[in-house]
Amino acid sequence: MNKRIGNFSRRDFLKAVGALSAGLAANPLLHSNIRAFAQDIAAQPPITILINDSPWFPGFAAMVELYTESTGNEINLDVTPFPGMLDKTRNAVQAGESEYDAVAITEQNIPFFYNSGLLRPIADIDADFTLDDHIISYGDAARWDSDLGVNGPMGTILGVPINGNIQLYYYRRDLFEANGIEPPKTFDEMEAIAEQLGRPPRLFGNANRVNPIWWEFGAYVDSYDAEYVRLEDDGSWSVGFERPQGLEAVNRWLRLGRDWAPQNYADLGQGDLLALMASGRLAQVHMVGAAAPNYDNPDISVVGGSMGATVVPGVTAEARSPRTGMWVMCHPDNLPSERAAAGLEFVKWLTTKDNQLAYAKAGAIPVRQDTYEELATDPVVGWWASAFAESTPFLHPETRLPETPLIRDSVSTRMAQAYVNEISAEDAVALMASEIRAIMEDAGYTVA
Amino acid sequence: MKQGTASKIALNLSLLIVVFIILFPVFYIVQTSLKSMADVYSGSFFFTAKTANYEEIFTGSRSNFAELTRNSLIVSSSVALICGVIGSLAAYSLARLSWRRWVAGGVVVWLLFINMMPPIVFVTPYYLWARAAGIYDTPAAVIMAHVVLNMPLAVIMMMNFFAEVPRELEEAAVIDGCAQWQAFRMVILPIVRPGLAAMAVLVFVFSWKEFLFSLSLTTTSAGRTIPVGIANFVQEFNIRYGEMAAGSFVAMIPALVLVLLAQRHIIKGLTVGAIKG
Amino acid sequence: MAHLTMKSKNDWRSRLFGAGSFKLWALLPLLVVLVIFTLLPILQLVQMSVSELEFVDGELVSEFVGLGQLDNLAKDPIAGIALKNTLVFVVAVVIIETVTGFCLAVAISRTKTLAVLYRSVVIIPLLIPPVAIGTMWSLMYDYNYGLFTTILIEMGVQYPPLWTADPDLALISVIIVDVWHWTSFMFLIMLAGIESIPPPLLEAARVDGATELRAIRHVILPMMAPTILVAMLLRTILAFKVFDQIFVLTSGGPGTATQVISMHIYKVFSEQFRLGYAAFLSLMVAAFMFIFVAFYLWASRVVRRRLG
Repeated sequence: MNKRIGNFSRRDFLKAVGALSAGLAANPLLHSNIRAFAQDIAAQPPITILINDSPWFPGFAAMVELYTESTGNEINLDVTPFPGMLDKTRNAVQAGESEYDAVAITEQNIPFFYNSGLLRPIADIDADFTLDDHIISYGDAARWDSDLGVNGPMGTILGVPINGNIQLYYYRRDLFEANGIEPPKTFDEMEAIAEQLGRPPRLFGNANRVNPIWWEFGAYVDSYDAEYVRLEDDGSWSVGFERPQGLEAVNRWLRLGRDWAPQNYADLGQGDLLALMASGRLAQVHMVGAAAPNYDNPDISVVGGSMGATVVPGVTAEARSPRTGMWVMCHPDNLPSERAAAGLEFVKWLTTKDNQLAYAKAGAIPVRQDTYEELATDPVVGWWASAFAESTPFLHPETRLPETPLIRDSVSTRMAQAYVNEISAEDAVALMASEIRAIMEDAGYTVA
Repeated sequence: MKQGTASKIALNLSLLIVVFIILFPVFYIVQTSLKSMADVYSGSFFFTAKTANYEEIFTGSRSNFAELTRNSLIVSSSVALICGVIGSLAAYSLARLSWRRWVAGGVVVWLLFINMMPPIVFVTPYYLWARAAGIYDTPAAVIMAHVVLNMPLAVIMMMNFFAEVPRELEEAAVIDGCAQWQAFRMVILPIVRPGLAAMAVLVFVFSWKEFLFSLSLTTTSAGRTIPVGIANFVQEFNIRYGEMAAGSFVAMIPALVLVLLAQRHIIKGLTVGAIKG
Repeated sequence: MAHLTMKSKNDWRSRLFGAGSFKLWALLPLLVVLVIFTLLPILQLVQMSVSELEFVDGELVSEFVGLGQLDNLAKDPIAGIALKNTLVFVVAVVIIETVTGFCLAVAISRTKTLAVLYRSVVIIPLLIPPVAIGTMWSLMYDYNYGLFTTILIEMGVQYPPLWTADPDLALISVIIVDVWHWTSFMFLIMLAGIESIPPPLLEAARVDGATELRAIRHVILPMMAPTILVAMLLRTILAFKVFDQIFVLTSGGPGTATQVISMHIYKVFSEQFRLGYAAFLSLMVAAFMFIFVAFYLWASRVVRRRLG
């Protein structure tokens, strides 16, 4: 059993494809399904997809291979480092004709591309297209409401989720069980666990990601009911840091981030958190869900088999608000119709339930609730798939506005300053509040 | 005599210390390239060396380092050659051939200005041109961008070295009946050969390291260079240290060999037919 | 009249094909490259800096705002901090790398047997992509599993430095990496400068009974001054643009300790897609760089005057 997710070779790749095909062959239902579906797909022109290299990429690549095998349609992949994705996508959609038939867009870039008018609405490619109810909504990530200038349930469908990444809370199940600790539901419980289990420098109670302070911190402010910005019922926008809970959220973040963490807490990125957890030096951590398969990889981690995961805690169990960091697949507007159609055909194929199961087993992160529920009892991926399934009702995606990158700049700067006491927590909150208000007012929003 | 030997030993000793300081991180890269991720995370000195990372970068489904290395060698050598020829011709003309001050000054300011701009400014125009010219996703597109970006360095560096050449040599050559071109080729160029070699090496190196344009002007390993392959190991939430180290180390060797050979060649080749200063 | 036309025609001919035409033909390829590949992007940039640009229904719409970008600068929480850090960084690395590069060049030019070893080793740091340099150094600096901490703890140091995680030490840590990476750049230019000094001059100085130090001071340094200043000028511009290396090492943190302007411009340009403001910032930073250029020009004039 060679399951090297972050370390995927051609050999592994063939093995994954082989295992998949074997699995499919062994499961007559699944097999006939794919065959049946494959028969529906007419021969399509070869397409090129822009996708980022990532720990879940091998899963994506395995599905591409399977698609070609079962439908005969060819797909080329432009595998690009994550930081290059935004510029490459932007260039492609501005060219005379896009070189890509489908582009993967990460959640934080959704507002720019959806708002730009550079993508082709899915209905213009396939008038009969409907989004399957089992595909998780992720805050209407597929739709753009151009009247409101934000994702909304009434919006036009511009992309289909293809990676359902969210935040999870990870813990060392072995340590928790040995000490009779239940996984926490609230920040208070998290602090108590950090206090009880922390034995620095061999085992740290908790650590937070700092580069940058934005995404995970969002789960704190949302849980405290202090969202960076929020659309109120009367159509005006409110700024969360102007409410008293804003300061509470900040203080809670600072405490959990600093008090039980390694001394270099001011310079921890996602890679550091993964490293600390994977080398057995961290008792619990709130981080990206797509990292989960890494912990079972013996080349990376020494804690395989001892990990647990659940919903990210909140102020109260009800107010838990994990954020999403998913990807949608979109089609540039500057494409001939048949190329856009060929791109969409693959996306539709990829997001069926059976193919999502195969997708997960090959190391990627599915987007369907029924897939997660079915995987929840799987002996290998069950420990995290169940946490994904459990998180869905609590998901609290950020409000995706074209101005979000500006808000992000303010929050991550001021929080970074507060983290190392360049400024006080109170000053940070006051500055974030006034800066976010100015950003919103300058952009013409009505701010309450 | 004795003092001379002692000072030589002292000189070499201190240089060996510098060599150690420079190589220390390189040793570390080599060591990391033999580690699995779990070994890196453990931070321990002791581990079982594995060659998995090297297998990965040459046979992996994501990175084909053999192709990337080939592209890098093509791109960087071409860029060094083109910048070397165009740059030294222009630099000689500007530095020695009595242009009006505003012409020479204007060109230099223009070059400095290009050099000062964040490279990202040029990405979209070059992308659109490469697509229009049909050279997108080939080494030619990357060469085009790198030539422009390295021209300021090439010209300004060479202007300095040409300015240092004593005027009498040039005049003597011209009196001898040489045309200006011959004077340049037979007299001046051999004198500045150390500068020319240094410039060519630096341009090569800058092209070798460049990431942004190599990424933006290509889609596949048909045109991509090594830094893009290396950057692929920095992922959203983890860095694949071992493969990155293996890639960096492997990529370094052909470049180093080529640079040393080229340096020797430029210095030796131009000596032939040179009039001794 | 006819006579005049004839003359100007001859003039034009002789300029293009006459004895002095080499001057023009030598410069022409550069001018062609510059006009074709840089004129348009630079004009666009200048135009962008006085505009606000936005995609509306798939079209990039531009609105003239004059000096309106100054308002954005006033509201920018990072630009000022980033500019200050950049200036500290630039001055520090240029001075340190000039001095070490010069010393290395002088020392290595004196060696014979091991010269090949020294020259090849010194080039090595330049051949590693900045992303990998940043990553490998961040791994060495890392407090939990990094090399430095492990060694220092083995040596019995109780509180090893936190390097990039210590706000007071982060910029210094970044400078150390830069010196390791870029000193070779200065070295290569300066070694070429030393090798260009006619050997008889050096020998004369040494035969005169001058000590090595005096030879350096009275022959090498004065002869090299223009080369040193050009190397410093090129390095200054390069240091202003420092990006990948810091991005990977610290991402600008802890706090704002290592925020630099090129990282900020990239963020404004790419993530925030404020093309107008990014162009404005780029031009502003270029203006800062021209202050350094003016300084080097002044210094080189002073040096030339001193040397007569």
